[in-house]
Amino acid sequence: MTSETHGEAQLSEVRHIVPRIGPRQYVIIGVILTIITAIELWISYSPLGDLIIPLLIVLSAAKFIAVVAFFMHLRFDHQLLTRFFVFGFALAAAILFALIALFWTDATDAREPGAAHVAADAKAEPKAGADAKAGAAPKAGAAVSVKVTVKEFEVAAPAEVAAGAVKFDLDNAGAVPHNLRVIKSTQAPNALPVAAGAADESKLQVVAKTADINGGAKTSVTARLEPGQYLLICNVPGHYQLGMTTRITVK
Amino acid sequence: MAAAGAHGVAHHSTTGIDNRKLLMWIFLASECLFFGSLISTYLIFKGKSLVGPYPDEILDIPVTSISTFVLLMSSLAMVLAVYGAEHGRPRMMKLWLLVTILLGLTFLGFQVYEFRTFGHEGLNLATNQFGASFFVLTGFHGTHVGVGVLILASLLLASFRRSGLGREAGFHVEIAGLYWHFVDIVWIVIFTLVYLIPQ
Repeated sequence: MTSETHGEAQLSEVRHIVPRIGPRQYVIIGVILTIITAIELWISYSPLGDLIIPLLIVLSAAKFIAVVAFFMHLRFDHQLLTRFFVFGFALAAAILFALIALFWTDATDAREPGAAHVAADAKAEPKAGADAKAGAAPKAGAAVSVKVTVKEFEVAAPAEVAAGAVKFDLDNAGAVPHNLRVIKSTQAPNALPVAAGAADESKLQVVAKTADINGGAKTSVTARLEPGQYLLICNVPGHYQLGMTTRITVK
Repeated sequence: MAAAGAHGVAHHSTTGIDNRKLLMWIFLASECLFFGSLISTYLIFKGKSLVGPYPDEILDIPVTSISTFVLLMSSLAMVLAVYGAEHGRPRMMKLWLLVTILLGLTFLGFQVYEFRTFGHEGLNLATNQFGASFFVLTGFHGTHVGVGVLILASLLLASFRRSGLGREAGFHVEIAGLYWHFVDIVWIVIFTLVYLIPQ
């Protein structure tokens, strides 16, 4: 078009589309949207279990489409507008799924940044900035090491450690996978809240954790600990109740 | 290009769509990416907090359901204002623009109440991963609602001029409406993903 001398000839007149839909239909759509929202609210409190999430997503998608199609007139308007918007939305959805897939199985949050440089046995890839809490990981080399040995079904560790950066060297001397959770708690070692066969971490102040490691494997995790009472537990389902818990006092 | 500002002369464009409207839709498509990133961040970080308060302890679903209803109804009011503007009924347009603005302000009031309550319960931007991602997401949405209120208020004020909103009143209100409805559909997604889906 730009190379044409008479570019004007390529232009077409803008069509103003006035949708054939009036206040009555708009109100009906508004009522439907309200009813869907009420149903969503009911579903979120219902005992439908695994069905809740797909149902809520379908219903909110229906609301989304109704508003875009009728209130924003995309149903009646030029198709090119729909294409632009759907393209942007699809890209956004792709980013959402890609990021969630990337982080879903990610266990690096609990690892020390640069752990591979500190501990020869650590197989963790260094990942800067992955730590979930600013200041939770000290500079490499500044940490005091604490040896924690786990096996069926006990956790062995020193009773005391000095406050500051503490590196827990976890050694699985057992035959099955274990992990380590460092929990700030003054409760008795066997009195933590339990959900789904494991200590309920959503109700606990977990200050450091490792991924599950197989029997014979080692890993490490570092946390900056303030003085206080802490519990070291294995939270593979069932293991905590079987006695894989011990107290450590940080002074 | 559209023959912008030419009174009574039909606009022209290569697509047959008013370029300003096309621009708004492309802007809204880019806003999908903006909010998509913030929503992804929230979903990733909400379960990674090392300290509370956690989402299931603090989110107030009944109160947020009311504010969601308020925003939905503002969309209905908006579309009625667009209808009035497009059909040469300025009084209808002004009335529903005013209702939309008031509902938008009500929604913002709910958000201020929610943020203050969370603050008193110990959740702020710096508390944990949940707090950081929650406030950034809903704060940016609230900012969008605020910008929408300003746009609609300026339209309402302008409509009281002797010439009203001019020949293109319907067009101006429609474009403002697109933005407003978009803010509403973003909230539809946030309400479901942040509040309703079990933590």
